[in-house]
Amino acid sequence: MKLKVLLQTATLLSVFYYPQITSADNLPDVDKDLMYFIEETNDKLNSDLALKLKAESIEGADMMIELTQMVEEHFTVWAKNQKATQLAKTSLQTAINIAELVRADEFEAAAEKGIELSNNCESCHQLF
Amino acid sequence: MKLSDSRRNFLQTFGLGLGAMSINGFVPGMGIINAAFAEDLADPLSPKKPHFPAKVKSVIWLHQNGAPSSLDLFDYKPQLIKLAGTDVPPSFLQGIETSTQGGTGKLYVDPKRSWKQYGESGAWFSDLMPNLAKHADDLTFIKNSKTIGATHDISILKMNTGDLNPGRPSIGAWISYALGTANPDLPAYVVMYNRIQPRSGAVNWGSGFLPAAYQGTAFLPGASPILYLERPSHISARQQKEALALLQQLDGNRLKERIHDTELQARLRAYELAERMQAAAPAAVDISTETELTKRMYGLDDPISASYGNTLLRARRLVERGVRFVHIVSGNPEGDASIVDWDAHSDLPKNHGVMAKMVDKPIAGLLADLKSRGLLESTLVVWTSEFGRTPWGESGNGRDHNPWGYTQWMAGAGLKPGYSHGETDDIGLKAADEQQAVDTYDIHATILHLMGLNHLQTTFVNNGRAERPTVNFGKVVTDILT
Repeated sequence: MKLKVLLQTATLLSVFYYPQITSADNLPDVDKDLMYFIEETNDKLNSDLALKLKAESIEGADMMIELTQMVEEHFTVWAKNQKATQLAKTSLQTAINIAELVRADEFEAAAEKGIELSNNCESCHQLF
Repeated sequence: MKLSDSRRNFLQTFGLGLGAMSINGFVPGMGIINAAFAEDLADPLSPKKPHFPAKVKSVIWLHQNGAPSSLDLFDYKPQLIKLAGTDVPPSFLQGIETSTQGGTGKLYVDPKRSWKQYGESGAWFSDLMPNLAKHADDLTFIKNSKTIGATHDISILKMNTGDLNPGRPSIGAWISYALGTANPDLPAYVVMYNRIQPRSGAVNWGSGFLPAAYQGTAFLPGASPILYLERPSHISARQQKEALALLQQLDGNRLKERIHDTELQARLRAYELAERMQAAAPAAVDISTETELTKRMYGLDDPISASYGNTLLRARRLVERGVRFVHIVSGNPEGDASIVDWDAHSDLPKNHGVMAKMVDKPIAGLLADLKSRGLLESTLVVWTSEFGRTPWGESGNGRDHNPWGYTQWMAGAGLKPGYSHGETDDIGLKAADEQQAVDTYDIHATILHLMGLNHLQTTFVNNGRAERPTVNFGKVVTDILT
C-alpha cells in the first residue's frame, strides 16, 4: 500500500511540476496510450468514490482535471475540433465538480458526476 | 525532448504501470478476497435487505435472441413507409458508421405489414403481435434504446453483463448477490431457453468476479430440465440417503475443528440445497398440474409456440415460488429448421412471421396469467434484445443490425402502464435525441431500482476495485416510473 501511495504521489507531483503548455509546438499528442491511462484513472476514481475513500478520490479527481486539461488543449489548438473541445471542457468542469463534492463529503453526488464524466468520455469516443 | 512529451511519457510509464499492477491484484495491501466475500461464503444466498422498499420481487428477463425488428413490431413509422424503396436521406446517417455486413441499402418495408393502435394508450402494434397488442395498456415502452456493437455475441454480452467482453457478472447474478434468495429450496437465478442457447452461451448468465453461487442455474428444455437432479437409477434412495448422511457427518466433524472455515460451511450448505432441490425443483417446473385453459393461454396447443410457451409457464411457476430472476432466451420453434432466431438478414417476412408467432401468444398469456394471480404487482417482465434492425433492407427483404435506436419494453409494478418513453427519428434509425437515449446500463439501473437497489451502492470489491452492475455508467429512467 505504501509503495502504491508513493508511486501515485510521485506521479501526481511530477505532473503538476511541469509548466503549463502555452503553444501548439509543445502540445501533447492525445493517443491511444494516453486514453487508456485516462480510462484507467477514471475507473479507479469511480471505485474510490464508491468506497468513499476521500484522499484517493481527491487524488483521482485532481488527476482527471489535469488529464482533461491536456485533452482540451489538444482539441482546441491542435485538432481544432469544436465538438470535442466542448466535450473536453465539460469533462474538465465535471472533474472539478467531483473534486469539490468529495472535499465536501458528498460522495453520492460525486458518484453521479462520475457517471457524467464517463458518459462524456463515451460521447467523445463516438466521434473518435 | 519537449516538455509536453516528457510529461505524457511520464504519465504513460508510471501511470500505466500502476494501473497494470492494480489490475493484476499486485498492489500491496489489496488482497484478492476481501472480508465481505469471506463472510458471504458461509451462506452466500441468505436473504439480504434492499436499500429501499422494492416495487417488485422478481424479474422475468425475456431476451429476444437474434434481435427482432422494432420497425416490424412496435415502432410505426409512416415516413419510412412513404420513403420505402428510396436511398436513406443523408441527414439521417450523420454520426452513423455502417460497419455491419450490409452497408446501407434502400429503405424497406414489408408491403403486407399492417399497423393498428390498441388500448386507451393508443400504442401501435403490427399485425405480427395480435395477442400482445391486447396488453397495450399494461406495457411501458422504451422506444429510444441504444447499445454498442454490431455483432450478436458482444451486444448480447453487453445486454446481460454491461460489458463487451466476458468476465463481468450478469444482471441476474448481481441481483442474486444483492438480495439473496427468497426461497432456500430453489436457485435465486434460473435460466431457460427453448431448443437452443444464445451465442456465447453460459457467460451470459455467469457470475463473473462474484462468487459462483450467484450464477444462473440453467434449466434445460424438455421433461427433465435440471441436470443431475434425479438420482441415478443404479443407486437406491436408501443408498443415497446413507451416503449423504455419512458425508454430512464427516464434514461436520471437520467443521468442529475448523469452525471459521467458510468454504466448508458453504460446501455443507450446497449439499443441503441440492437435497432440498431434489424435492422442490421438479414440482416447480412440472406443468402437468396446470389446467388445459392455462396451457392454451401460453400457446402449448400450437407446435410453433409450444416450446417457448412451456418456458414461460415454468417462469410463472418459478416467480410464484420466489425465484428472483428468471432469464429466458427465445430459441426457435419446432418444425422449421431454417429459422433459428430473430436474426432476419434476409426474408424478414418469413422469419418474423414464424418468430412472432412463437412468442406473441405465450408472452400475452404470461402477462394475463401474472395479472390474474396478482403476480404482476410484484413481478417485472422485460422484453429486451441485443439491438434492433435497420430501416434499410438487406438481401432484398431482410434487415441489418441496428444499435442506434430500437424498442424494448417492460411491464409490472412501479411502472407507468400504457406509456411510451422516447422515440426514434422519422425512419426509425436512431434515437431522436441521442443524449436521452436509454443504454443497457440505464435499463439495468432501472431494474435494480425497482428491486429496491441503488446501483451506485450495489458494489463488490474485486482486486481492490469497487465494481458495480452499471460499470461507470447508468441512470435510472425515472420518466417511466410511477
